[in-house]
Amino acid sequence: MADIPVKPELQQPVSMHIDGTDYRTQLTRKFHERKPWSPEDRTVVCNQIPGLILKILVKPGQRVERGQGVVVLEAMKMANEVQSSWAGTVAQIEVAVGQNVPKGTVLVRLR
Amino acid sequence: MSLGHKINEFLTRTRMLMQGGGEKAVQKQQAQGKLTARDRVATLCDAGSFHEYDLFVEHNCHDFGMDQKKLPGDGVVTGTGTIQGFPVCVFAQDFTVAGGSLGLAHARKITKIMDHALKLGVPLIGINDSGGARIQEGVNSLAGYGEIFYRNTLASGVIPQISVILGPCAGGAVYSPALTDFVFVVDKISKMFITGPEVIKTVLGEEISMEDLGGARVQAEISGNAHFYAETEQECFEQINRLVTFIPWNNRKKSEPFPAKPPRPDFKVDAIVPDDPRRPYDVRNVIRAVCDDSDFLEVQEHWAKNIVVGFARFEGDTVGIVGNQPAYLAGVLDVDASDKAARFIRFCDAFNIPLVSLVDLPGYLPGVDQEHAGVIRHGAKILYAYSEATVPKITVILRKAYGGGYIAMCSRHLGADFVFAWPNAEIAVMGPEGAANIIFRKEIAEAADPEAMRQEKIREYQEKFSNPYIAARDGHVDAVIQPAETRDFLTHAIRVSASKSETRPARKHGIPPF
Repeated sequence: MADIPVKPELQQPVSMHIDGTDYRTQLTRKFHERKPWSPEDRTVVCNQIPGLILKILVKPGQRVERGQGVVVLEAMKMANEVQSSWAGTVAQIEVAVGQNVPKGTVLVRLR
Repeated sequence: MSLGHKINEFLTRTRMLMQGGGEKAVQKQQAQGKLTARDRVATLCDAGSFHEYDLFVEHNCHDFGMDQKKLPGDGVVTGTGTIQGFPVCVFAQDFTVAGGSLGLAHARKITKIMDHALKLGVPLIGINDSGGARIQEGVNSLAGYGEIFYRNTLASGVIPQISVILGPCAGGAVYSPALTDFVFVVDKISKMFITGPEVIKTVLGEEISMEDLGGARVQAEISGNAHFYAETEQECFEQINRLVTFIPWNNRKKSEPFPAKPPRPDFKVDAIVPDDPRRPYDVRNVIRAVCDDSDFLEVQEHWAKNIVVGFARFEGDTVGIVGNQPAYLAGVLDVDASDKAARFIRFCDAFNIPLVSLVDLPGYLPGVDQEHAGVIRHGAKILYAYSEATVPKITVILRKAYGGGYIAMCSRHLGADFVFAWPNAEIAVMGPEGAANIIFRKEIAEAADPEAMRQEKIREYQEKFSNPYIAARDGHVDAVIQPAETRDFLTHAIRVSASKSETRPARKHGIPPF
C-alpha cells in the first residue's frame, strides 16, 4: 500500500498547555491548514458560489439594507441575486458585468 | 401538632425553597434580561397548568463543605403542564441556585421527569441555564450528564424532545440539547460551546468573544445547532407553543388535527415560479400558496437556506415540507442542506408526519471545499433518509430536477408514493448546455460554425428532454398537473395515503452515513 507523504512539520510533536496539563502531541494536516477565525468584515459583500456577473444592482453612494440584492450572478444555471448581509452605503463596486468571479470575491465595498 | 400547624410549617418550607437562590441571585438573573426558572415554566405552559415535583430533593454530597450548603430544589425545577392543551413534561435549570450547576440529585430529577415523559408518551421540554458540572461532586456530576444523554437517546424517535437554551450551556452539557429534536436559542442570552474562549486563547492563541463563538446567532446561522431563533424569551416561548401544535405527543400517535382552512388569497400559486428557469423565487411562497391558512412553521430558517424545511397543514393534518430554495445558492444541495433535510425527514418519519417535497434544483454544489468537506458522505444522508422513510411521501417537481439532485429529492426511485410535475418541469440527467456539449461533441467540433451548432443542439436537447413528459411516459412521474391544481392533488394524495403501511426487512437498526 502506498504511503501518503506527510509534510515534515506535521511529524514534529508540539506542546500544548490545557487546564494545567502539558500535552505533547502531533497535529493533523487539517488542523495545520485550518483558517484562523477572524471577525466578519461588515464592509464587504462576497459571493458564495463562483459565477458570471450579469448585472450590478447598486451604485456608489447608494444606501443598502441588510438582505438587499447588490449583484446578479449567473451560477448553477441560475441568475442568483447576491444579497448584502449588512446595511451600509456603497463605497465601491469591485466587479464588472461579464466578469467571471471565483467564490469569496469582494463584489461591493460598503462604508 | 395540629393539621393547621403542619400546613403552616409546610408553607414555610415551600416558600423558602421556591425562592430559589434568594433575592440577590434573582435580581442578578433579571438584570441580565433573564426570567427565573419558575417564571419560565409558568410563561411557557398554559396559565396555571404547571405542576412542580421533587421540590424537596436534596443533594448527598459531603465534600468541600457541601454538607453545609442547602441548594433549593438542587438547582432545577421539574414538573408537568400543558401547552395549548397538549400535555408536556418540563425541566428548567435554576441558575440562581449554585449557577444551575449539575450534581447527581439535580440530574436524577431530570432523568426522573424524562422517564415520566417516556412512560406517559408526551413531549419533553428542557430549559438549559447552567454553569456546567458541579465540580464538588466530581465524577457523580459526570454520571448525571451521562444518564441524561442515555435517556435522550432512548427517547429519540419515541417522544418529541425540545431543548431551550436560556443561559450558558457549555462543555458536556451541550450534548443533551444536541441529542434532542429541536433546539431553541434567544439572542444575547443563549451561549453554547464545548470549550470556551479562554481555552481557545491558551491553546490556539485565537481571541474570540463568547457571542462570536457560540451565541444564538452563530448557532442559528452558522453551526446549525439551533432550530429556532428568537429575540426575546417571550418570543421563544411563543415559538415553542406553535411547534407543539404541529407535532404529535409520541410516535404511536398522529398530530392533533386542526380545522381545515384554505390558503390565503394573496398567495397565488401560479404567479410565483418564473417561466425563465434561470430566475430565482422564494419557495416558501409556493408552500404558503398551497397549505392551510398559508401557515408555514419553518425549522432552521437561518441555516443552510438553500433548502427549506418545516411544518404546515393540509385539510387540518400536519405535513412536513422539504423544498429546494432557488433564492439561495440556486437551491443546490450541499453538505449543510443535506444534513438539515435528512434530520428533518427522519423526525417526520419517526412521528408519522407525511412528507411533501417541492423540487427545483440544479443538482449538488460543485467545488473543492464541498468535496473535501465530505459532500459524498453528507449528501448520502438525504438519500438514506428519504429511502428509509415509510410515511406517505409525495413529491412535486416545480421546475428543474437534474441528475443526482432529481434522484435525491424523493424521486419515485427512493420510494415516493406520488410524484407530480408541473408542465414547465425539466427532468433530465443534466442541463441542456452540458448535455449538448457531451452528446454532440463531434458535430459541434466539425461544424463550420461550432457556436451556432452548439446553440442548435442545446435547443434540440431542450425541446426533446427539458420537460416532464419523458419521465411521465416511463411512469417516474404519476401526473403532470397545473400549478393551480397542486393543493388539490396534495390534499388528495395525503388523504388516500392515510393508512399507508410499509414494512422493511427486520434488523436491529440501519447504518446511515453519519
